[in-house]
Amino acid sequence: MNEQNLHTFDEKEFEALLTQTAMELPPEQMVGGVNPWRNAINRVLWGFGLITVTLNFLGLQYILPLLGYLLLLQGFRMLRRENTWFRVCWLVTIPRLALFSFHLVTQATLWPELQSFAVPEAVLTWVSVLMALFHYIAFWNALNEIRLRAGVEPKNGAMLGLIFWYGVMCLLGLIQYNGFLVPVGMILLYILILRQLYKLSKELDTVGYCIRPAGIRISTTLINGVILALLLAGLLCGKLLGSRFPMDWQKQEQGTEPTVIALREQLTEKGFPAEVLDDLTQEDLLECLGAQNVVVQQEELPVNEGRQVSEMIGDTLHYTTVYDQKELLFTHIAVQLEDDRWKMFHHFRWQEKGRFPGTEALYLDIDQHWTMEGKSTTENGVIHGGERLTGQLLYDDAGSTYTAPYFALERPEHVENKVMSLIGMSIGTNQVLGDFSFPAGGRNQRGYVSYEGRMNDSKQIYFSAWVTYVHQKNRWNFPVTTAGTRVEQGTTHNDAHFKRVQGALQFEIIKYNK
Amino acid sequence: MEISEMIRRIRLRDPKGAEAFLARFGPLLRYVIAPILPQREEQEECLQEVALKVWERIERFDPERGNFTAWLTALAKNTALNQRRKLPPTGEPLDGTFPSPEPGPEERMLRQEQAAQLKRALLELSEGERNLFYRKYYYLQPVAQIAAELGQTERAVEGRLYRLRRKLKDLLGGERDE
Repeated sequence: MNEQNLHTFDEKEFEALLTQTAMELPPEQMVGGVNPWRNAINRVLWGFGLITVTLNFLGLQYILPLLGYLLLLQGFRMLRRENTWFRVCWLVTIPRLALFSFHLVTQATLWPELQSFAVPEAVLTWVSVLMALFHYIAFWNALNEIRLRAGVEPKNGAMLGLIFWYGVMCLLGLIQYNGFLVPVGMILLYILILRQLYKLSKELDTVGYCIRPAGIRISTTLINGVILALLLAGLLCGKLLGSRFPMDWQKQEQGTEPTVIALREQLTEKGFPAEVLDDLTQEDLLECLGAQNVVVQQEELPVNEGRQVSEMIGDTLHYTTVYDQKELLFTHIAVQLEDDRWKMFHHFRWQEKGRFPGTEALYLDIDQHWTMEGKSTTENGVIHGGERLTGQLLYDDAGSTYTAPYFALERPEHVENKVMSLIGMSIGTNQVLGDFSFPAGGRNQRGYVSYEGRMNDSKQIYFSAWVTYVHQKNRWNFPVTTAGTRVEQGTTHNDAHFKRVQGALQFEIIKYNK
Repeated sequence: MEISEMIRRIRLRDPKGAEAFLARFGPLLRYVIAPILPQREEQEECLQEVALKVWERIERFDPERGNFTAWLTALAKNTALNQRRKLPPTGEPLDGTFPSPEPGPEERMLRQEQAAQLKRALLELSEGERNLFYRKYYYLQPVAQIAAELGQTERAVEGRLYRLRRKLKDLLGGERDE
């Protein structure tokens, strides 16, 4: 052949040459490769493997199952004409893929964080579990039919093992098992089961299976491309449309009653900042009737990363961070009422525009000697602070001021603190967590939280309340986590998606005790 | 019944071995024969002939030289090709992809040399390309069947075959006329 210039052959001549030459070639390596049964069943087995075993890093918990569903779709598409059960398997794969895609898209939104989504999510989870079980059973029946047709005795061990395995996994999920050894054992068992299924299918290789090839009008590549494109579109929509809390913004109505006006004057005289007074609800303002003293502390805090500046001091080069802008202005106000009761306000105002309008959180860690007043209820580990825990958000737009209550303003029973738990301690229950979002437009965005109470130990000298503001910097965290969730997880450091800013109200409360 | 047991029974001329053979390998044989003999009656006739050959030649199968399925598919393909050559002309243009009748000694030597060169060239192909080559040029599967089984359109398969042939031309030698 090397004496002939093959490029002078036309296509037909060269094909004839190849066909002629191929007759002499040993065939054994390629029998499996061209076997349509093997191609299809390999896709199916790999598909089942990838959708079940998840690896929770580098996004593999999303990528691998997606690949698995696409392989299942391909494999069962090739086998769907072999028997009814394979057709059922193919049909079940479609809604399973749809459910998985829906789950992925919701992870790009705040929906899983919403109480209203809890029930639909639970229903969809159960539907998914039952469909998965049915899928395995259908596959088992499909394989058995094939084996019966081939005159090969059905072997049920591996499939029964798979169904049992899946049942155990569901149980572990239900009881929220957190251990390590059992899941590792289950993964090994799963690999063994899949290997056994692969061996069973290899036995059927010899039968070949004249998979009656149906004309393909739409290539697998196109189908996969469309699915991925739709998924990407869904994720983008979720990110663009579902990344803020739904807030109930209304135009502000200022109180004009004489009592309110007189009270504002009194408080202003005592040092209460007028601009903060303008932001209070009428109820909060009226709670300050009979105010005796007002303590005000202000601090400006940076949300940006600042810039590093180096300076020689003596022989040493020192680096400091300089902030040209300090975006957040905190105003902490303590109003002393009668009988050593106090009403506290933690007010914040964004002094700069142009930041990402995602989720925000305001977290208060109040002095452990403080007793919060007002009726409260506990539900699912969350203390709802009742009428004495208040606050609202505000912004200005086109000459009007808009207000909204917090999306959630609660007293979590426990906020995890990794450092404290290492030394066997936990944080007390004087915490407040507010979740909210601002709109993309508008200016002068601000808000406050207020609470009433008293020190439960009159000998305490200082009162302190730490205020942490968590701001979401961009929309690219996945799955979506809110600023409030970051607080509840006890994460203390900044990262690519969230920035924490902390201030405090601290003053010598004993000076004001009678 | 295990394959080894089935082979043993066939060697002992046990009819149960023949029954097990047809039940188990019938679909595979039809799969291999169908691209070469499209007519159903011709396929059945060929299948019977293959079964007879297996019955008569089972002693020639040596498990140490390859597996039974590979031996069987080669036997089925060659039987189908022989049957195809015996068919009367249908008036349709001869398909150049079907191999010519039995060569003479000189021709046989040339083919063996070409086969060795082609085998070396095939090793340089990817697994997918090799798979495609065998489907088209060994199993003689039509483009429609290949496309359906690979989940691609016929046009995509034709494109892949065209690129495969160009690659083989380059690997097997010869300079392109630019």
